[in-house]
Amino acid sequence: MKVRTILKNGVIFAVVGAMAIPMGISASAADDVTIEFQQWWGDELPDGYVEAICDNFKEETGITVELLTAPWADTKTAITSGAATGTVADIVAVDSAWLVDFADQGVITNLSDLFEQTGFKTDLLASTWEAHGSTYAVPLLNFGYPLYCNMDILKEAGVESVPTTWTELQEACKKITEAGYEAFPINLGTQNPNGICNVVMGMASASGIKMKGEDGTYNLTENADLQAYLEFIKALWDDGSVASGATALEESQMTSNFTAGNYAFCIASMSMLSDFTDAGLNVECAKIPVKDGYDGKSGMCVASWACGISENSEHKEEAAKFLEYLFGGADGTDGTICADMAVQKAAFPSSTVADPDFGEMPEQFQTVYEIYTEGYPENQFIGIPQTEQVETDMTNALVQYLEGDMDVTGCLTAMQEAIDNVQ
Amino acid sequence: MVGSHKKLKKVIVSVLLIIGAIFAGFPVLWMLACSFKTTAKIFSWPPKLFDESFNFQSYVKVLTDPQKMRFFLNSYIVVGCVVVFTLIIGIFAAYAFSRFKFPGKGLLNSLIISVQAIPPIVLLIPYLSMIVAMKLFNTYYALILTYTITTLPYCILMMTGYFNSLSKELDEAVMIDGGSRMRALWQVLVPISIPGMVSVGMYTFMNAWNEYLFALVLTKTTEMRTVPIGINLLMGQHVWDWSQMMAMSVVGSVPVLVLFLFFQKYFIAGMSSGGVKG
Amino acid sequence: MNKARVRQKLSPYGYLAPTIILMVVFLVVPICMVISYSFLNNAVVVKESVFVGLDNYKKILADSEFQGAIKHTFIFVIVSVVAHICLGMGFALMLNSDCFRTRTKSIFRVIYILPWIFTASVIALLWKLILQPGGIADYLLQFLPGVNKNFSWLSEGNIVLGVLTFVNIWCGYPFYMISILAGLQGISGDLYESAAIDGATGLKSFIYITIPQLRSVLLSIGLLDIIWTIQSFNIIWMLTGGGPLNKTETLSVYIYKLAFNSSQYGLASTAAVFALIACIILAIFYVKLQRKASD
Repeated sequence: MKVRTILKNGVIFAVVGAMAIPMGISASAADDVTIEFQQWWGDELPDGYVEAICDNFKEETGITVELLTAPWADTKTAITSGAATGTVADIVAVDSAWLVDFADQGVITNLSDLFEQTGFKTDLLASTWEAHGSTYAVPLLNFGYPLYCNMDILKEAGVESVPTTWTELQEACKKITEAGYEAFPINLGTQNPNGICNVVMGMASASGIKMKGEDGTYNLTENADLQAYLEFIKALWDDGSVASGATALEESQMTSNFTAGNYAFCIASMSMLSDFTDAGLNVECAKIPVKDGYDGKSGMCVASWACGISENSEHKEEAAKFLEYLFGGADGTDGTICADMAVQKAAFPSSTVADPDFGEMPEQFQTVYEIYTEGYPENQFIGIPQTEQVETDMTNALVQYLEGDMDVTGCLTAMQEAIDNVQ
Repeated sequence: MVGSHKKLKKVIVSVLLIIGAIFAGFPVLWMLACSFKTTAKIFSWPPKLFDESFNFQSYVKVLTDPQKMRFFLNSYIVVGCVVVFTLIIGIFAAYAFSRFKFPGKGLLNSLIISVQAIPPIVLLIPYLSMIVAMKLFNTYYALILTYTITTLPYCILMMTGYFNSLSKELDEAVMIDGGSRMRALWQVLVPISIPGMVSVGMYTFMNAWNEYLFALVLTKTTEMRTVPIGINLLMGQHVWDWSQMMAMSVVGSVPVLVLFLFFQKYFIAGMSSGGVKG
Repeated sequence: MNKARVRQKLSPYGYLAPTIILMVVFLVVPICMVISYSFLNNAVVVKESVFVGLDNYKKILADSEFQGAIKHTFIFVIVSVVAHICLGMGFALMLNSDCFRTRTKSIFRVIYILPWIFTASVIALLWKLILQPGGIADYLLQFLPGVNKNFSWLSEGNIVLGVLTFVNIWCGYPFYMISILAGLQGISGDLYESAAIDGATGLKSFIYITIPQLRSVLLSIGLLDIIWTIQSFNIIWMLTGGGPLNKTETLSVYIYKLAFNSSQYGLASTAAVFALIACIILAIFYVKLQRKASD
């Protein structure tokens, strides 16, 4: 009985297994090196775009680059579990929020050392992402986060020009809400808690307000500028100018709502421009309103497409070569790949030799490019460990303050705690 | 008197049926409606079921994408195998639990039920390490194995319950006639338990079909991905293709619905009336 | 003689062999690894993790967020399971009644099963669309006080857990309906007939025949639903991410955040062990009850 049962099951398993379509990837020829590139970029670019880059790379160097795709929201999960079990790709695209954790966990390798070893042309890199003093990832493209304005709503509400200061913004929002529209959304949902980084701190950056002090430490409770800024947000909230449902709003809902013409303003990624214009919106891009009287340089929040190389990779040199190719082409001076991608995605290249021809880009893009070059890119959460947890905690603190459960000092204290918890 | 009583009952039940149908069906109707709109229109106010932007774009995109079709194929292969294995292994185990007394029965039973209690998130990395060590990574085998294991407890539990409700005299009738236990199981108990098996089979199908996390981590290359991952791939960094997501979900469920329609008759069919008393 | 007896004694194990092999190798081993992580500091992410004894357990128990998660999970699970049973039973009875033609019953059966056949994450997103400010829920329910175009069902701290429970009830009742329906089919019609002869119909026959006959099935699916609802992650995560202000953070969300936002696998494993212990207790309870029922 026992043996028969086991045999029966075994046979079934084997037969079905043998009929099943063969598993896995076909092995490449013995001499060819194949490296894997874990990314989400392919789906956001035209079909076959990234594959073409990889094919060209293969022609130049004989190294095959295999693309692995995972949904953006779970790429971190895929990379972490891959790293823990030795199945992670050689090159991984990383989001700024994952940088420090990946560096600490040994998921990505120390690029400063690797670049020295392989003679990587580091002067191709306009900027690098560092953790504990060494480079761990290199951004290829920067996506700016300007203020989008739905000019039709503004017109209907009687707002004549795009607001440039906090006071003007507050006034404009009041008029807009009186006219029956939603004015200013902030995505404070905690599933993907990037609203506090992109929107809230993005607006702070525009007025030169930083979380990090001059000496590199965080001392939020004594940061008078930050306090004034939070009080401004509270004023907007109390006016009813912040779009409803903010505490459950996610970035994707925010952008879709703006596309549908539900919001007057929206701080969103530059890559959204084509979606907005395709939907027929009369949209303009502007500099985020600054604090009244502020005349210094304005920081612009950026999200980036960056890459790191896995610690587990057996082909680190080849991986570094591919990165060099992305930044500087086959000979190290040709930035067309980076430049072309920048034009495709309405982003700013982070390669020193990339000189994209933005002439054909819509005028809204030109405006943002000007703002970007006159100011500076800034992502206030890079370098903070366990970024998503800190973002969630800070979001919760902000929400409690906005809803009246806490005063501004309590809010700042809670935010400081969130950062202290991970230092 | 009795007639009007029955009529009243029919009216009440009809009303309840319709309310129930709205409760169950309206969100699904909304899903369908969204799949026919453009993403922008999904967010417009006032929301309408069907508006001017009615189009089949999303369905075209889903059905003409070979990558997505591959996802469907993978899902069907994996889930099909899982249902078969789970049922077979589960029936054997349920028979043991139902018809025998043996040392360790209670312990084993509790163990099988409680292993479902571990949140998949924490189990992920240890489990993955094992799969990688067995060289099953990125194969159908890994997914089939995983889903069989996760649906087995439910199958065993339910089939034990169904077998328990079938009198032992049925088995004994077969064995008195000289048949073996296996015969009693497969020729008497199983045919009677078909409604139970169908419901367990359906559940196993749904569970394996919908599973996302392990599918994401156990597969690496696009050729091996399943439908839930395909749907999540439509959720980009900044913008989600809501319309296509709805469309893909609808397309994925059509065959499931068809299967259900096909197996429905087993819910209407007979019972073991008179099987024992006769 | 001896050989036959040995064979007879071993035969149940034979039937259980594939199950045991699969479960032990593929589940028990990883679960033991998870339990071991709960005793380590910074398991998985750091190469050399340190044995810290019960430190993680103390930390978790003292964490107010954990206590909140337990409370939310408790409410979420109990309300969902009770509602599932009632709805599932109600629909199953309606679909099993003799008031209608087979054709009608088939159509409604298909409609009632719809929540179950779609991918869970899409269902969650669908509800997010329905419940967002300016969504169809606002539109249809405008007659309710306080509900207007801008009402956000998922932002109102007081009702958000209730809203999520409602969505969970919607998603999960078909499972009960199908299982109970299958169980109802197995109840011999003779039982009802003989009861009718004795004058017991309607409610009485329901209480004295239907429920006892379904007892085994109900116990099973009730227990399973409790365990699964404790695990329920997708709906909550996709709809509110555990927010606003952690008001919908259940145990599964709490563990997920620990594991993936904070990379604290040791603490996450510890919280998971609590869930495991709770379910083991429930499972032992269940087995005892079933044993009584089958005797």
